[in-house]
Amino acid sequence: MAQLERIEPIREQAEAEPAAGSGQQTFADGDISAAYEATAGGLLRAGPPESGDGLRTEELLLNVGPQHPSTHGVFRVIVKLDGEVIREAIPVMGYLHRGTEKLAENLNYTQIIPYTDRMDYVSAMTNNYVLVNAVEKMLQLEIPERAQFLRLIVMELQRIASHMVWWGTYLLDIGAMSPFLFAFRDREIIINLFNELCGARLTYNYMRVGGVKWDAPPGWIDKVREFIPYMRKKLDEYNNLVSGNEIFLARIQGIGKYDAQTAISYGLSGANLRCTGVSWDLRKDQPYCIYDRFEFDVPVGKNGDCYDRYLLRLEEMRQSLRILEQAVAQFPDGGDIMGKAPRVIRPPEGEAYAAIESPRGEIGCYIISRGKQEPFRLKFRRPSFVNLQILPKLLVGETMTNLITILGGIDIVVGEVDA
Amino acid sequence: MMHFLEQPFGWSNFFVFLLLGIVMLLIVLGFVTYAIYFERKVIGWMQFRIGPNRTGPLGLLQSVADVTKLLIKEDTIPRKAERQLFILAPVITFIPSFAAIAVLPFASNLFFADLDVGILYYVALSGISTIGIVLGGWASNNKYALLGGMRSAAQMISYEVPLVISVVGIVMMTGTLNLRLIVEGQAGGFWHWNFIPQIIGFVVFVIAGISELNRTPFDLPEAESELVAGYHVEYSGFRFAFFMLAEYVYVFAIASLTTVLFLGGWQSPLPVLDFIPGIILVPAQIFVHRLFLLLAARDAAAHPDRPAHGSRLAGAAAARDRQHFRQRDFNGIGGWGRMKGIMKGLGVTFKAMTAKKVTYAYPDVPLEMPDRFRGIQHFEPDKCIVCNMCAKICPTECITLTGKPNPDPEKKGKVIDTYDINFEICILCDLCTEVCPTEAIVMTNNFELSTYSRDELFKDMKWLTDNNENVRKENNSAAPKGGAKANA
Amino acid sequence: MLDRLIGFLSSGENLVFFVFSLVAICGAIFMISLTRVVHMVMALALTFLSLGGIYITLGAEFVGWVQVLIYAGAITILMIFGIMMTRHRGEAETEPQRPWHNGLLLVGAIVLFGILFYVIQNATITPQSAPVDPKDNTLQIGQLLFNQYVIPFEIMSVLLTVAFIGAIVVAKREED
Ligand code: SF4
Ligand code: SF4
Repeated sequence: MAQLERIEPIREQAEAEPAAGSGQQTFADGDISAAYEATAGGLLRAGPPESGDGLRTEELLLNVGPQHPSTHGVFRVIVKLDGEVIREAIPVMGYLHRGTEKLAENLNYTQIIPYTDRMDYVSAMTNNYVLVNAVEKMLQLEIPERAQFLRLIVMELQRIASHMVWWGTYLLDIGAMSPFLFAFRDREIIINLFNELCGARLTYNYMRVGGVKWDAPPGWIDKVREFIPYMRKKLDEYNNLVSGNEIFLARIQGIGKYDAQTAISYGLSGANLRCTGVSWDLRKDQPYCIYDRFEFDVPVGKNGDCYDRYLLRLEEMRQSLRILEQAVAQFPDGGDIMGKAPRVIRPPEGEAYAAIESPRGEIGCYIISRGKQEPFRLKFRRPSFVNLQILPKLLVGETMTNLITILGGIDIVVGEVDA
Repeated sequence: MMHFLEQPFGWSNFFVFLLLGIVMLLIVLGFVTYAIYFERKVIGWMQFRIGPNRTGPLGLLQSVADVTKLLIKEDTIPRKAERQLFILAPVITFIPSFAAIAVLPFASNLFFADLDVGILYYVALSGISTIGIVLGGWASNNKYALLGGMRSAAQMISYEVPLVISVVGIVMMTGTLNLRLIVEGQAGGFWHWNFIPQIIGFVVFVIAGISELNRTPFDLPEAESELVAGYHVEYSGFRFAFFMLAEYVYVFAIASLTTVLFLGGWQSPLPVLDFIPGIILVPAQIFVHRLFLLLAARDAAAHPDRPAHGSRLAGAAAARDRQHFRQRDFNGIGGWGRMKGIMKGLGVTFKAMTAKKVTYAYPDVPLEMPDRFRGIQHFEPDKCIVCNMCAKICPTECITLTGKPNPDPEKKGKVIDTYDINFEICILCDLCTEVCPTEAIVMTNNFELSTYSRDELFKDMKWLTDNNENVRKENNSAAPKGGAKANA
Repeated sequence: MLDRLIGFLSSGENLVFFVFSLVAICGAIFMISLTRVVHMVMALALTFLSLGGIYITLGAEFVGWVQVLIYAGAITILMIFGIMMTRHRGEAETEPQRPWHNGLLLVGAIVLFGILFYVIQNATITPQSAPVDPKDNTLQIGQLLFNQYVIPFEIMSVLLTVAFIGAIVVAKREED
């Protein structure tokens, strides 16, 4: 909680003077397409910038995406380019919008779980958890020890897998092809572990209100145990492969910089916040599950640039391995994997908000229940979406190449941006 | 060259040249084909993959297949493109690339043109190719292509100069621009080769050469991750093939040029090896150099590339950029410390080449899935009690079922009549099998669902019943239900 | 007349010269008459190229390839680059038709051609005393430049350096 107090004053300050010019306002109300037309039209009408000598270069309105290889799915940024320098950028989102929150209002809680898999599809386990955690909060359920451990282990494995996807694709964006395959080779091990555990490779639908669906199959925990030293070695290899490469450093050091205050006023979380030096990790600061039983550090950066975010994520993988090591050692021998959950889940009337630290930041789930089987209203705080809001600010004045570097550094998953 | 122009045209002359030209074309095409194959193989090895291995023995015919495909593909020209220039651009790029090969001497008596200004000729022609790239980018009427074209122009302006200047030392040493004479000046063992006295020139030449070729880490004009494919994004079929061909012909040319200028051409490295005919040495050297090009560039840059400065090419900034680029190059050479990271990365890459390959031979060797794998459902009509639980729990509502009264009048209840799952929307979430009280619906390990029509994804009871291979043994861990019951 | 023409054309060198000059002239005409700027630049590049070709047929290989390198390569690319970066809309401006203007132009052109033709026909061109050896003309250019013409050469290079620095300064100011 010490950190919390440290941030609070900055938060208040930030609230006092809201961030100016954030792209959010553009899309705050009404029809997104109308908002987009208006802004894009505004872009088009805007004349070229004044230049002293009367030399004038043509400005180019470029649609980056929605089918662009480096926007990680169907995300689109309209950029106004002067040569290669970005003068203005407007993110357009919603191409992958599936109305998860609205759909959820007609589904019972068990049925919503597979939908959460599809929000941040790179990190389905944490999404599962945030939903069941919110419901469990309302029901005030006791979760059996073994289920807690299984949940924690899969979430940390998931964090590693998710960061690996990020690492591989980020370097792919920057132009290196091999790291992607390095990362996916090792991620495959985690995926196979999950596959053995719950029968799916990406959308696990593993957690249930009150526990988890499957117990660990025989030998599974040993496989996780073997994985830890293997992954440590691989992390060193990753570092050797890329982290010191001068061309790489030239491309990401000092790019996409912002300070702690900006980060907080934009509501950033996860590595995007910690890279500015703010130590804020829900696993430590608002412990959930059984994180308070384990020892781990929250790495923080200090420059707030893409390079810090890069290093942070690598370090977070190491910390996750540390947690895993302890969790595997303490893993209980027997016990239930399901708590005493009612057969029909009907939370009492009321509200609950549960927030956890997903690989991308603070993912939250807010439920209003009217005592029915279905939630009256369900709302996710989706870190990718929130973190993305700083993009237009960061892009102005950068080059086209850096657009990719910055966007990749934020680490969005379009499924989560659009939900 | 001059004396052929001065001579009246003779048919015999003409045919000799035509024949030699065709032979050369075939050699170059063969080189291109296998350069691509080789490149793909090596990159594959670096990434724990096998590389092309399906077409022909060891995948040797892969490039041939690719080129054939490109040649017979539909030729699309975007409606809003500048038609004439769009067609012209690959031609402008390709012709100089091939013409540039004419001056390369392959042995002391095998060369196509003994030009006094050989180096100049090469540089001049390669510059014209760039016009083709820029034009292609512009004519495509595509903003990404335009940006790619502009980058290409800026890069060419930036790197052409160091490329030429790096050769000046050699020209001054040898006192000639004639490539054949330059090679002759390097006779007598590798310590006479130019790369030793001209080591800086050599390094600059290699770096600038890679950039001339638009290869990683200088593939700014293509930059597939940001500009998608740059200047040739709108090109397809054989026009695209011509751009590719030109690129690889230049790879051949730059590799040969490096050999000729710095690595002694056909002169044998040790006097003892003089008996080896020069004609063998040159290809061997080109091959070695090509390998180097591949590795240096592909450290691919297997590692991150494209100097950030490279893209700040707008307008008048070209001049400034040139400085940036040059600075980079010389820093690279001067400060060994700055190269350490790249070297480390290279080490990892090399190690990866011998690591275990992870490629699956998928359709040939079926993938083994763990027992819990959630594949396509298997349905057993006899077990079903038509309780409708599965249809109710299904979050995507893809199960439809109807029951009918039990034909056996003695028994009560219903039996299943129709049972359909729409696999267009089934998300294989496992909930139906979880709730089914009789395990009438269970998962299998099969996952191949692809069909030619969406309608076929609608599977009925018969199909689901017949889908009875690899049925999952453990269909539900008992715990969730047990726990729930305890509470109920 | 016809004999002379055939005789002229049967020499390879003359034929090549003829083709190159034709292309050069065509390029120049297209350059003026085309409407799209990029097309104009292409026509110009064609002219540059054929000029390079003419130099080469004249035995000035060095000058010829430098022409190709600098003009057909670098300068053309710079021009295309500039055109791409700047606005070039509203190309299709049609000037009001003035028929008598065209007539006048035609008369002027014919007169000019007549004069030139007459002068060239009547001129007696004495061949150079020692014909340049095409084999070694790079060497000769170098020798001339660094002996006889060293001062103009140096002055030129200083001038170019000044222009170069000036260009950078202008570009830099524009940027800030
Ligand atoms: S697996 Fe899920 S989506 Fe598919 S039929 Fe069963 S319940 Fe429905
Ligand atoms: S849940 Fe099982 S028994 Fe009930 S209708 Fe579905 S398949 Fe039949």
